[in-house]
Amino acid sequence: MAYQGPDGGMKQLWVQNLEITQSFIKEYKLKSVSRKTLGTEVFQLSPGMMSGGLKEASLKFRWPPFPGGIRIPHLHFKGELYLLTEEQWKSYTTTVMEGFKAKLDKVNTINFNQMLNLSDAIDSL
Amino acid sequence: MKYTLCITQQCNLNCNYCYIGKKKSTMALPIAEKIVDFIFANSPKDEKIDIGFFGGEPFLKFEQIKEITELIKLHPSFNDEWVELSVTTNGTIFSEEIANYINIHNIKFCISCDGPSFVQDKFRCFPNGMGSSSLVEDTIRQSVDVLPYTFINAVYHPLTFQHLPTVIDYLSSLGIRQIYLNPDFSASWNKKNADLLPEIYDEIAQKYISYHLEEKPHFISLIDSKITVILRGGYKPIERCRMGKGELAFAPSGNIYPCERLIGCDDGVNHCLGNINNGFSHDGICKIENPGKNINNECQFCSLSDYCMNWCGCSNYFSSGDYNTVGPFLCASEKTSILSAFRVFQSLEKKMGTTFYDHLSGTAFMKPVERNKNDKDTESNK
Repeated sequence: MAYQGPDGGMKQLWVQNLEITQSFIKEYKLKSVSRKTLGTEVFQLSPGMMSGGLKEASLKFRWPPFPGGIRIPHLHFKGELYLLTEEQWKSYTTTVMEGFKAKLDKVNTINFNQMLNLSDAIDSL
Repeated sequence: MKYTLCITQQCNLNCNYCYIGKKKSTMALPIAEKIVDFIFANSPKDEKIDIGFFGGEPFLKFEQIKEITELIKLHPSFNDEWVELSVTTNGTIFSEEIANYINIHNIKFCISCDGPSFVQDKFRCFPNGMGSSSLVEDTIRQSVDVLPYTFINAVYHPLTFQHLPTVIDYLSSLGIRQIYLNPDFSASWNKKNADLLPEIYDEIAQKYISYHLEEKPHFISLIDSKITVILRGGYKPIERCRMGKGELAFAPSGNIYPCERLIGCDDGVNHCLGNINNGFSHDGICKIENPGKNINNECQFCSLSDYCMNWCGCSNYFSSGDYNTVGPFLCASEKTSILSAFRVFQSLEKKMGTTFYDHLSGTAFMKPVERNKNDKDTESNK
């Protein structure tokens, strides 16, 4: 399968949230799991992982359009794979979303009139 | 690496907004052979290879598609797991033979359809003015039945964008679950249009939420791609436009362009990077080496810049005439879709718990690309 790291898991895919991910793994003392082991244990989940159960619709939906075959919350970090409980996933995304929310106050806009002037200037070059 | 092969510049439709100049030019097999050799010789070993058949209407030349697929699959460097094939059609030509071929060769099937007849037939007409909607609808119905996955690419325009929620309903009613929405950047968008976007995108977001709650989730590019980007903290440098480097388009003549949207009439001059017989023009590549890098001042100080597709060289070109200058409609559309996606995420995670963890790995819309050497070096230095 494409995009596999040395352990057969997905390679590190994000850059911007690297620090958040690293400190999250540290804070929750997450242990990486081997993908080979996961292959046999993926549906024998610990309490808290996908407590709602795997729904038929979502099983059908995963691939395509979405890549990946591990149907529980997880992180890939530096070639390692970390499984999360629902609570941990919530905590992770809350941190990410809070960081994002803070950015919403500083949004700029490209003005339509300014743009028309700029396009005219480019056309005249 | 993404490669687009414009099999033919012939088309049976005459869509007003099409960016490909129509002519009776079809890719000859010796040209295709050189292109296939080029692809396998020049793609980095650790990158997946996407090869898309494009037109004009590619199924006007189904025999060429078959021959070129064979060239690709019989190439000594071909690896089934690393090479992905796709075809983009206008949906007016379909048959059992085509469906079987698509299935056997695992080719992704994308139909360009703008929506129900009153939207589709506004722009996507035959040269005699007759609309294509009924034919395309038939194709969608058949392909949903016989192909495992059918993707729809819907273009919206200032005259049609207000119908986007209806377009989603229509496509969903035909059984489509993966919808890509793309604005016609070359159209004259104005501030009035931009001001309507929050209302329209919000309506799409509400539909998206309902589909999830009904356990019939749909992929809608406008929402899914932005949820992915928000979760991952922005687009990775390697995910941004790599036109001319990570992405190339080949005209039937063998001329090489940075993106299929820039083939135009294939005059061999505008945007042209060279010809498969002679190789690249270094000057041509230099001009577009960093598309989206010298973006507008507003972008450089915008907090959503990392989440925005301001780097898309061809969208910028069609909006502003320059690869590196972002148009105001793209700005408005990106900002609105990012906010809509954020609200969808909050709403669905609250109602359904873990819903979007798979988005961390990227979506089909913006597949993660293997790290290049520079990325690896940067990361190992951390």
